[in-house]
Amino acid sequence: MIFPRYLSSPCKTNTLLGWFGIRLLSVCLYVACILSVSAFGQGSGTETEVADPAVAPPSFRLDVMPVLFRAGCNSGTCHGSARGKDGYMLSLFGYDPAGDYRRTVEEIPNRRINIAVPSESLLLLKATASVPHTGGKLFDTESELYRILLRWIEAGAPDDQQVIATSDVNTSNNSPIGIPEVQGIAFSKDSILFEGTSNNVGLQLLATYSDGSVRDVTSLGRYFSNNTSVAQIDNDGILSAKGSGDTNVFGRFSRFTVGAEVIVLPPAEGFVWTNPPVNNYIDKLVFDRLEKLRVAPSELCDDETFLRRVTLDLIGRVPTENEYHQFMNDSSPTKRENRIDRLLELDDFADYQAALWAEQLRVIGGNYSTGATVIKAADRFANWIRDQFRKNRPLNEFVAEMTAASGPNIANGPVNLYTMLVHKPQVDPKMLAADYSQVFLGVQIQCAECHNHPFDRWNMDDYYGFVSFFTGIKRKPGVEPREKRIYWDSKSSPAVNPVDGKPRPAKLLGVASPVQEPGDPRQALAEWISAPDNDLFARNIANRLWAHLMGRGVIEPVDDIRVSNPPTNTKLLNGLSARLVELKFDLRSFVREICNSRVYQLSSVPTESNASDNRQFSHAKLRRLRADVLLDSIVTVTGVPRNLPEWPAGTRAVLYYPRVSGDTEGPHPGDPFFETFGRSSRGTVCACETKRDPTLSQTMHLVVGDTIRDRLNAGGLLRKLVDEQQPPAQIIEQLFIRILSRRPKETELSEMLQWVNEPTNNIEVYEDLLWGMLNSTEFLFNH
Amino acid sequence: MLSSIHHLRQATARCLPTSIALLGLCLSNPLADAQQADPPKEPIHYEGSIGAILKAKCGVCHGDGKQESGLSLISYAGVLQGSGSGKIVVSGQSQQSKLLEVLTTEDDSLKMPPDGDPLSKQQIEQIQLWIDQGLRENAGSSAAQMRTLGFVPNALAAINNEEGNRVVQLVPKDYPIVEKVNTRRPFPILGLAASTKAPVVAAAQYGSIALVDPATRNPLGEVPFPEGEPLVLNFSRSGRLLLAAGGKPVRHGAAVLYDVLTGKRLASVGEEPDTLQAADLSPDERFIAVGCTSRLVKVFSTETGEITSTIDKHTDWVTAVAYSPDGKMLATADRIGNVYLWDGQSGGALFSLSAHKKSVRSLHWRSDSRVVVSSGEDGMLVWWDAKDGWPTIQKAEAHAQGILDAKFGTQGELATCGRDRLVKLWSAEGTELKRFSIDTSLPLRVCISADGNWLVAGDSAGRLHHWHLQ
Repeated sequence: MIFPRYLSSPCKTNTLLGWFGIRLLSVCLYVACILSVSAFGQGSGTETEVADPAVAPPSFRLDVMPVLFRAGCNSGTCHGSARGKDGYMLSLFGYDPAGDYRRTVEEIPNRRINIAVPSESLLLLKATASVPHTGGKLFDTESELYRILLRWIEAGAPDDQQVIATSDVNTSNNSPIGIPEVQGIAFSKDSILFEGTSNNVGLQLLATYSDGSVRDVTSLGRYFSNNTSVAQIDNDGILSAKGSGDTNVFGRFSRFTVGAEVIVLPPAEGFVWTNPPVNNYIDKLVFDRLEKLRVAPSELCDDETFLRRVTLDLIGRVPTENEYHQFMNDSSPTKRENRIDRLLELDDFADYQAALWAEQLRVIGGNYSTGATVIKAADRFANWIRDQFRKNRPLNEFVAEMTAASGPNIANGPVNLYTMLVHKPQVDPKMLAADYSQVFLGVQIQCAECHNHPFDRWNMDDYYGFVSFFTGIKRKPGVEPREKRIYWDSKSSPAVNPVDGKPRPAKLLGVASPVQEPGDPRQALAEWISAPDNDLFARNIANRLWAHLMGRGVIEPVDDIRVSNPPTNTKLLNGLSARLVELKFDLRSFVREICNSRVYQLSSVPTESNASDNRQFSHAKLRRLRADVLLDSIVTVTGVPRNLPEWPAGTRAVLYYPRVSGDTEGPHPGDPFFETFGRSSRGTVCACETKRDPTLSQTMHLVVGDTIRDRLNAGGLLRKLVDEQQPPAQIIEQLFIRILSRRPKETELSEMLQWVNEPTNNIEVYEDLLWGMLNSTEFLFNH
Repeated sequence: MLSSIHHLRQATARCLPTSIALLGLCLSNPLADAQQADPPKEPIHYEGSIGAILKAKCGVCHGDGKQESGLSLISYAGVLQGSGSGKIVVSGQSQQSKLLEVLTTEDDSLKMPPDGDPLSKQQIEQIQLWIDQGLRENAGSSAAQMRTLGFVPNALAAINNEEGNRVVQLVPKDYPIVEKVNTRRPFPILGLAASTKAPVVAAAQYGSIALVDPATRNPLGEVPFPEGEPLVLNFSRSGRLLLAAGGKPVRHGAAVLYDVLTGKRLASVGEEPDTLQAADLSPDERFIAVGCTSRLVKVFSTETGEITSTIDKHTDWVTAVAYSPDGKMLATADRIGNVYLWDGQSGGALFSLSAHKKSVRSLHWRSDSRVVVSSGEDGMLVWWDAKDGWPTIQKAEAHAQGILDAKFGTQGELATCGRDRLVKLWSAEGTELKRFSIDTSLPLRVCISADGNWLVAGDSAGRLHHWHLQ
């Protein structure tokens, strides 16, 4: 239902004024008070507003707060920062109107707001830069924003009289009285397609209120684009195309953010859609998108590249010589499918996946840890995770079991979710809630601890309701020394929202009312997280697995899913997520389909139209190997094992987790090689802990460090080949296959033969070749 | 007796403000002692129960074997020495003591002991009491010194002559007429002061200061303040001069001296870029100290107008400055709750008075210069012993949501006002005697007339409220 007065009024100022005829009441109160005390300063006050009771003053919440938002006063870099700015604090984007009223009007009497001489109010003087203002000039005295503020101050800067609890969404929906609240916002269009640049289109921003009214807030919203080289959006909601590609623009008002997809097409001339074959649903979803964007995918990669890629992705190392020959000599038309199936059956696949989860869940064991993270517990947890993957336990059940776990942590592996996820001497419910949400939902809900999430749907009630799932988790001494028993303390009280000081019982994200069943609410959490209709969980898991195999999530970063960070291909992520549910969270089946897609098997060599694409999966992404995969690959290639601290000789690097002597909090890279190449130090649950950026020290380490230097003779292999008087061409080919999983090109071979032939079969030349290949980007990258 | 105070203190935290009055009574009324049901107990000491509690509950981690955080609790010396991060107990101030904080906190990540059973309520109370009684080591240790608030009124002599008649020569008369500045609404009473020598009260208006008789409410005259808004008003100790300080926010600030008798403008000092937040005149009338939003306290000479010294100790707006009536000390305070006492002559720092957690709103000296009272937005009201900076009386929630002003009368009684829209009168011993409510607006400033008969408050709607006290 739309009230025409908000949308069609020719005079905007009037539409912003007055939602309620509450003024008469306040005037009466005022007069009554005057009578009871001695009048002082008589003659200096003229109650001009009494003369015009028909026009209600602007409402603080409905009219003034939007001005503070629009002008940027309450943004995070200005007065909305946690401690305010230059002594004046506003709640970030206005989550706490009552507090903002107090701080603006009452905190320092008569300074920011001067109701005796309204135009002298510091709020106005600062915003118009009439006095020095760090934030500069935000608007001038002629602007609509200024007039709203001035009219409100002239009216005595009243607070809203019929305020209902802003945080209580349930009651506000049906409340017959009170100031209506914004319930949602929308753009007039949610998808815009530009044929070429230098085009404009105007977007309207519409807000729906709890009384059912809709108001055009285009002039009060704020706008931004995720990629201004594709599309820009200005203060009036005017969208302009800047360069071909796709992005999203966002409008914000009140506590809401809404996005619209923008596509700017490159010229149609010269573009030919190649109509590539489609292996499964994934190809269809990706290719539909690419065709729409006029981007042609790359060709299929060759068998050698495929073998190396799929082996690295599924079992975390390069293929061996044997594996290479087996695959290359296979003439079956389904040899790629067969290879995927074989890799998926290996324990190595399960163990690698389990290790990635152990990293994500921060498995670290400490000999003398003060918390509950002794090495025995870490081992038990890691082994339990491994067992789940070896028996292909559905992923939702895997997470649900950990979620609901209680008991002694050395005997019961999964309960260590509550000792490892947050390494602290005591259980920290807030950190647990934040990390649980980040790992299993991909959502960083912790922003809502101090203010409603500025770029997502979550508010402080959602946050504190979610924290309450963890407030009752306690530890007490277990049976074994240094064992801790994790239990739910039924006497614990829920988390308290500091804005109103009221407790928020355990409430699931996106669910209106709190958990009803008495006792440990984690049962409800476990049921919810594993339910097939929990989009948040399925989408997160699907996106993370896709990111592992493709080098980039459909949402990136994978653990920062929010309204303002939408999928680059919404249909693809929906498709993946739905398929994961359909497959009943069967990891192997899900991964099998991705690996069998043509999209996964595309070459990394770009086409003319897709060279600049880095988000639509039009060609394979070049990825530097993870630190542990790199180390395992070097060991595989050279045949010389590498010992890791506190682990038996021969342990694979991907399976390593830190076993330390002290406490386990704090980052533990574990091994200098891991630190250099950015293996997660497990200091936090952030996906960004795994680093793939190149650094100078990585180059230096490979060039002169001991990892390669100590393996130059490949465990005697080179000596053996030379002594056996193998033909040089054969040795070189063998090195190529071992290290780069391919045969040398003619040019490469002939050049190298020259060097080998000079002093006949000099072993040092082969060592140099091996050294050179291990230092090549072709080896360091999955391509 | 002490035990009862302790219980009441706990109660005050929960059910304010009525229990504050009870607490005050207990401290001051000797009859209350006799009525106590509890038998007198031996003072608590470390070698008695306290050491045993700490050893049993904390000794594993803070004992002989391990000293987590460098803290040992199994010896008296260890407790006093504290942990690697500082002292854990402050004698007489359990609420300032880290030890009590970690025992009582709701925050599980801070709470001690980290695992296992927490201390019982009785044990925590014992520890609290032990700290408040002064950290006795053993039964032979001297008792914590009990403080008195003895007060000898000496200011009344000047206002009444030997026959008891009012001395009137300090009352304004025949002021020139000041032209009104028209404002949309009455200007809030941002500044208010009572002369200690004569029945005169000064109240801030926009661009001027009005003087009224606190008893008759008759206007006595008005002086212009073209600088803008007078935020601070103070009479000199002699009652001869009126100091007004203020200005216009983020534009300029100044402090101006007027002759009370004639209304004549005598001097003005300070050309600050923002309104002055605080100002006071030294008792010898030679110096004006002002507090600025620039975080500085500046002291100007009234004779030359030059700056004679500055204090740069404060790290936020300086919100209050006050000379002791004997001129020996200067108290200053700021917006984040710091209060300092300085030597009024040498300018050396004497004490840092830490009690406030939010902005301090006012500082005011008792007329005998022995006590300075501080009040602030945290609702805390503290009577400080100027001799050694001891918080003799603390009222944690004197006004809910914050105190806006606190001023002594000449008899040592105290008037306060706060965001709870109440105006309160306190005895010299810290007992709440009276409270008055203002319904619709905020009482911004209070003062007590020189004869102690009238309590006057100025509110945010520009009105003065008068209450007869006798």
